[in-house]
Amino acid sequence: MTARPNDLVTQLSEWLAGTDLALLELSGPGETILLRRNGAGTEVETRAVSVATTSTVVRAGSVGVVLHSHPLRSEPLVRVGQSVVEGHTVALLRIGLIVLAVQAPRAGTVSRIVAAHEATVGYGDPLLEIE
Amino acid sequence: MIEIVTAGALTTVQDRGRYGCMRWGVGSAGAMDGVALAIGNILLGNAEHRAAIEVQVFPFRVRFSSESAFAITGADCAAHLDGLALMPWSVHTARAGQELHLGTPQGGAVRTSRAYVCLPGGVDVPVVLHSRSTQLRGAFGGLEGRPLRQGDTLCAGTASSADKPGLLGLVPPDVALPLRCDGLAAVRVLPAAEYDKYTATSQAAFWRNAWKITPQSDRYGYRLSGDEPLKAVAPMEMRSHGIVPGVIQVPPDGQPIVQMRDAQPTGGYPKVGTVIEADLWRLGQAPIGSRIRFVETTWDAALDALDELQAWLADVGRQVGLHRNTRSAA
Amino acid sequence: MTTDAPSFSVLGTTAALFEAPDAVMSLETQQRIWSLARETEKWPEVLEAVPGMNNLMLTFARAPRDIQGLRDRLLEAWGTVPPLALAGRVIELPVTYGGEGGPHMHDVIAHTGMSIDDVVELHCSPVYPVYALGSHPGYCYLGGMDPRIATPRRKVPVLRIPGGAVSIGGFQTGVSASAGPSGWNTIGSTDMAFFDPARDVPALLQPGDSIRFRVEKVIR
Repeated sequence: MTARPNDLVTQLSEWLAGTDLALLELSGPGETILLRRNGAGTEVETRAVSVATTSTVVRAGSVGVVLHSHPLRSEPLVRVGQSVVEGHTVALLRIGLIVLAVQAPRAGTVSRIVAAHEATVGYGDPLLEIE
Repeated sequence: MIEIVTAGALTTVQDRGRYGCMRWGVGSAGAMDGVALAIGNILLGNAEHRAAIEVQVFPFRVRFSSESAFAITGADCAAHLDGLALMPWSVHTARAGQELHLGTPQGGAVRTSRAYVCLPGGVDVPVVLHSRSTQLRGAFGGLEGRPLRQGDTLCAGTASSADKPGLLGLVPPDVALPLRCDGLAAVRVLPAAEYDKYTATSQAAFWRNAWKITPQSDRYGYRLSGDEPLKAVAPMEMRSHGIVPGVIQVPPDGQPIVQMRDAQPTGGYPKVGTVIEADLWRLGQAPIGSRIRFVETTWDAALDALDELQAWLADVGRQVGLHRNTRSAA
Repeated sequence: MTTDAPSFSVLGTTAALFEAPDAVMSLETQQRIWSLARETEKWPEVLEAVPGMNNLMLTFARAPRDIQGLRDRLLEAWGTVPPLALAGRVIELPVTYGGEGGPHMHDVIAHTGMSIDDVVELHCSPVYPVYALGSHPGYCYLGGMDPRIATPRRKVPVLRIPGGAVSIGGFQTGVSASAGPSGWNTIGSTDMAFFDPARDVPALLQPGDSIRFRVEKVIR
């Protein structure tokens, strides 16, 4: 809304004047506009707003047993709060003798580990969340 | 194509070995861990016997000059591709220009020492006497019959397929087929011709004691060291006879030497036993400084072990075949 | 090991080893070993039949469950196969004795109490039959050395002797086909090439061939 036309604010001010409302707040990506009735006129205030974070749920691509660490290693693949790049192996799915790597679809921070170590999951089940 | 950026001593191209040439004094050579080699090939959809790079001194670095799939099996050596951590026992894809780095083998439940870098279609070097394995004494096979060094380039046998092989890996054989004795890595042994010529005390010591793999150990043979050297009832004069990898010889000092893949095809020392074929891969991974136990077995049990190993490999082949066309798991 | 009956044993599940019982190693026994090799290499379990010094190793294509049955068949074959009197070529090798190529000639002289000329003459006289190949690619195990020049293997092996090294180890003599370690006493050198991996039959000498050593030079 940074490139809003002035006539839109004018139009909204006029509509506001015709109501009982004292305050109209409009939120958009990155910005909030407040229109306050001030006597016969309207006060306009603009506030910048930090971008709302989006969360990606990483899901199982198949049935399997979730592994938080590789069978040969003891340390976990990721921890909550850890930064990962796209392609980072964040979990493993064991299916019989096979182990499939689950990779981060984008860069971000691991915000939540949903499926427990050695839990059996189905196709599409959430494994973890990346913000 | 890949280019060697850093290679330690005795990094060689090996396939599963050269057979049928002992009549000319040519031993088998071949991968010290034949199971890791087979798995790397299976993961890439190769025939199991294709050649790979055997790495036993780390770090090891290669640069991919074109996009390629590859597999790393054997020792978990903290592999990185341009800084991105790779899972062990898995297939990966490198883009042109990316550099693969293998570090020091990590500890784990079972200590390992050799890693295998496998390429689509295998490492493409000429076949010499039915095999691509490097024969160091005599200098033939592999890449010009010698260890790899910086600047060498190697090609894959086939171009990478367009569809990426997915993020495919395997539960390692150490986990799937464990064998330990009193907490140590163990291998099964069949007594050899001269077993009965050792004192009862020595026979018991052979099975009971842990044997340390000394620094004088390599692809030719493992010199072992134990608390109780083996004593023969009487000195023995042996004639030269054929031997195979796994034969455990006893020189005059009583400390055994296990013949490995690059051993001479004939020997003249007394033999106390031979590691069974089904367990040679375990022995091939045992690092210098580690200790092993010998477990006595029978002919039938030894063949059962071989059947079990081959059945597991067949299962792996089937399951990998099902998954090789699967999209990524996420 | 020498006993009254032939010895049969296994080398893990990879191979079986058959050893002829004779107390003294002989060419006649070796001819029977060659014959046994030719017979057993046709057996379906056998990957390769590899003659040694009066013994035979059978590597398995597939290890047989009935190992006793294999043993019985092998012992029976030993009793029935006729000796194979292979008669190949006699290859003459020119040898430079002593000097840099024969660093242990002095040890042989010291052990035997003979002069260098006596050692050379006794080494050159026989025709040495090739019993078997082994040790390293192209290496021939030879029979027929005069026991008067026998010298025990060295206590400390040499890490690297070159190909073409002519050596004595105990009661045997041989020529190395490529550079490598050796515990034998190297008394001279020759130029012969023994192995070419590009050929269908890569070893230039076979059981049944024989070697003669000819004096090219004696460096005192």
